[in-house]
Amino acid sequence: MNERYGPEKEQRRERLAWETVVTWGMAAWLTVQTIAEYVVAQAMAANLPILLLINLLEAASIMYFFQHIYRLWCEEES
Amino acid sequence: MTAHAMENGLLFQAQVQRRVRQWGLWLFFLSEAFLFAAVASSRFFLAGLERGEVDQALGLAITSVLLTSSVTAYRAEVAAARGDRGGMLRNLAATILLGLAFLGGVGIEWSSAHFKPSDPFGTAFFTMTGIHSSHVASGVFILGLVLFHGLRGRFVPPPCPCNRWTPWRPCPHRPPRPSPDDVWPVEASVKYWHFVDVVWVFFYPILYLMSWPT
Repeated sequence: MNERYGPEKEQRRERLAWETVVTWGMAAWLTVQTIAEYVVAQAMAANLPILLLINLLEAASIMYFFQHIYRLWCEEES
Repeated sequence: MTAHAMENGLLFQAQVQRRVRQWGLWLFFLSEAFLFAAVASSRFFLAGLERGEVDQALGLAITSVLLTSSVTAYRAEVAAARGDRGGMLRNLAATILLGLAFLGGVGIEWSSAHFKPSDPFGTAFFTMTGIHSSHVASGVFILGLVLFHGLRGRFVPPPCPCNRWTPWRPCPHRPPRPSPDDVWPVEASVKYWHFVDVVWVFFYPILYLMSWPT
């Protein structure tokens, strides 16, 4: 069967769309967080708790979306 | 034993192998995390909670470079998984270049630092950035190895030689997607790169931004 018209083509397109969303979504998210971190650090004298919170969010999003940590627990595709 | 049962057994064995590899890699990250946590805690012990005299603009620049490299590394991994050899190679090369740019930035910071390695903050700064940069350098080396083997046709098969690809008439002989086993070296090296990035996410504020009036 020609995959240009089959369900495999549709799956491929969906996967590509998801990868694009993750790429640009994460790029924007990391940019916003880094700028927020910098602004908070320059504006506030006692910034440790807020910076820690931002860092935890940033690290968690990298581990989830880029490192796919959830794959350790979920069943893999066959 | 029937052929079907044997096939199922092999499939199960391959899945277990993949699991073991994944868990092994994450346990390695965990052991490394202890090292980085110990080094980070020494900063608080040596220099307290005050901010050091560091170049803020340079710190922001190298952080942006490293975070961008994580995005290109992700692009390389997904390109490899869907069998896009060109995308994988381009993004790996971009990641390596950004990693080298980060190392260059740390080198500039080291050469222009206003503190000595013997100062309390200097000891913490040079130790933390030194250990982290050695990990970045090893990541660049590993990604370079993957790029080298990728250029030689490993991980992702080269494009179809029928030369019929045109935008209005794609090649009908699309190669199959590489299996997770084929692209594991790319995935593992990219995961390591993200780990180095996550470490810097914590090191950057500890060294450059953090302050707490005492």
